[in-house]
Amino acid sequence: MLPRAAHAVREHLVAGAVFGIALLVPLMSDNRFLQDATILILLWAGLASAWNIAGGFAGQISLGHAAFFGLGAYTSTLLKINFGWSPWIGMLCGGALVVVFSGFIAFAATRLRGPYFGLATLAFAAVVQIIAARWYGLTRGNEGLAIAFQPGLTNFIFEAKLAWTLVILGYVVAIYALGVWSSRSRFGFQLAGMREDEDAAQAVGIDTRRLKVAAIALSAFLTALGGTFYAQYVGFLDPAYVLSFDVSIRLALMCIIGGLGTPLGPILGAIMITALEMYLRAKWGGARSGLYLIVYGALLVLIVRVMPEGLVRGVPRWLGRWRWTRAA
Amino acid sequence: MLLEVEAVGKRFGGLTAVSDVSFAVGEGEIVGLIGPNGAGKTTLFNLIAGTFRVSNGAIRFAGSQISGRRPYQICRLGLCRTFQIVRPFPNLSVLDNVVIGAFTRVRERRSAYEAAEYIVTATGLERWRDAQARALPIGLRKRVEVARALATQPRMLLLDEVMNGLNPTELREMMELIRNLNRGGLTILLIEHVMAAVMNLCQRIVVLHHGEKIADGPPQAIARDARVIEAYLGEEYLVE
Repeated sequence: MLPRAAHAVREHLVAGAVFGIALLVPLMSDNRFLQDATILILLWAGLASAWNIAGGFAGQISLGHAAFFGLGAYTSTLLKINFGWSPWIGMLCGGALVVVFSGFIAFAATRLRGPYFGLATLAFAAVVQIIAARWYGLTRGNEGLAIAFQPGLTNFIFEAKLAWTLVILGYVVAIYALGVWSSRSRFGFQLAGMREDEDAAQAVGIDTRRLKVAAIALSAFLTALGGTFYAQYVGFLDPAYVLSFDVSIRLALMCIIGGLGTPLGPILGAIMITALEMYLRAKWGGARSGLYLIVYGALLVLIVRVMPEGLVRGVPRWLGRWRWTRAA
Repeated sequence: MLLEVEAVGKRFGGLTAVSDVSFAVGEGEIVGLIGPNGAGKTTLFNLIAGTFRVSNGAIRFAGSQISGRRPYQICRLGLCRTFQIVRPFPNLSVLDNVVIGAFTRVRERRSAYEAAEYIVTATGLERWRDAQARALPIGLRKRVEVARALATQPRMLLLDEVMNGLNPTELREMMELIRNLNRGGLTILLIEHVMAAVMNLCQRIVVLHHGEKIADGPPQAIARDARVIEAYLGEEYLVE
């Protein structure tokens, strides 16, 4: 086994390389598809990293993060459309709103363990989706909301892909740094204890109820920020997508594939899944519609089967085994 | 008295697990809690540690009432427990298990590691410090749990059967550890079925039977007590 420091350094190098390449894309290439793909991959990487704080570090597997994502997107957009507030301020308002909601769910769910917490969040997201779809006066229901394309810093809309890339890169790097800090600090150690055994954690003086609420609220807050970015970048939102179960599952899946509870895992998982999906859809999406989903599903099952611990820990293990068999 | 248990009872529906038990543990004592299976020993531990709420009675620790408080608060007051079915954090290393305990008292990562390293060495776990807790044999897992509890800097430890199922060497080491901790000023209340260890270590023994206290006294007196012999020991136990 590598000493702690060695694999931490290796993971920082991989993360640094990912961030560097992401920054180079808009600088070096004029390919709109590639630039767009980079921004979306970074967005998913940030969202998955935010999910990882609750699902990975704290062990609270949420199946309802789409609600926090969607509430973030809707809050800033509605404040902009109805009151002309800058989406930057709306973003913080959305964050504050989901802190209240998620804190309430987390507190109510402190007696729910394991799958029950997941089910509670799933139900919450379903309710939010239905309300958003039915409350036509506020959200225009399934028609969705469009954001006028008026570039400007206070409008949180940019013409240059580079500006979008910088904003979302800052988001991902900040959450990555938070993950690295968490995994080394008192907060992170206490989260690990709670994830491993809640009763034993309480017995050694950890206030697991407070810790759980804090981790889930932080995770939801960061997810809501990503929701605002999505709304601003895509320029359109409707309940069927931003509040869908698909978004919730995708975040969990990215973390599981990449490596739960590691700062780098969600980033690798997001790259893997988003890139795979885009590639397969481009290749097989048209002619035999649905086929790409079958291939996508089969590949995901294969990855989880081969590396149940995720890419971050699984790839070095496989490389190590390969080296070892060659040497022998 | 450091720990005072006053007429404490616990009912689960119609079942009375503990009824009106009173005893006290003084600072610096090692007290044993014995009795047949189902006598209510672990329930009593859970009441003291705050895992269960008392149905009646009161528990005081170092002068403040702890019945009604939550387990983490009781631990922070300086009363820490281990579990009968050991529960070290399974996927973490031995050192990290102890570091988590240490973080209850310090905020800085460096001081938590320093404290944890010291305790890992003092409990004889340095050879396994980087091993995953779940990969260790039962004797060592029990020691990890004691080490993790010690890292919270308790004034008093509640040890739930930390000597059961150990081989003779492990048993000797664990007894030595407990005795050394006690010499260092730590108060200890332990549940145990290994009579040789209880009789040897404890200055005083409390006996539970059907949820009631039937005896409380020094080991020699307990070993000769007619009710204890009938309820638990089976025959007169010779204290060396």
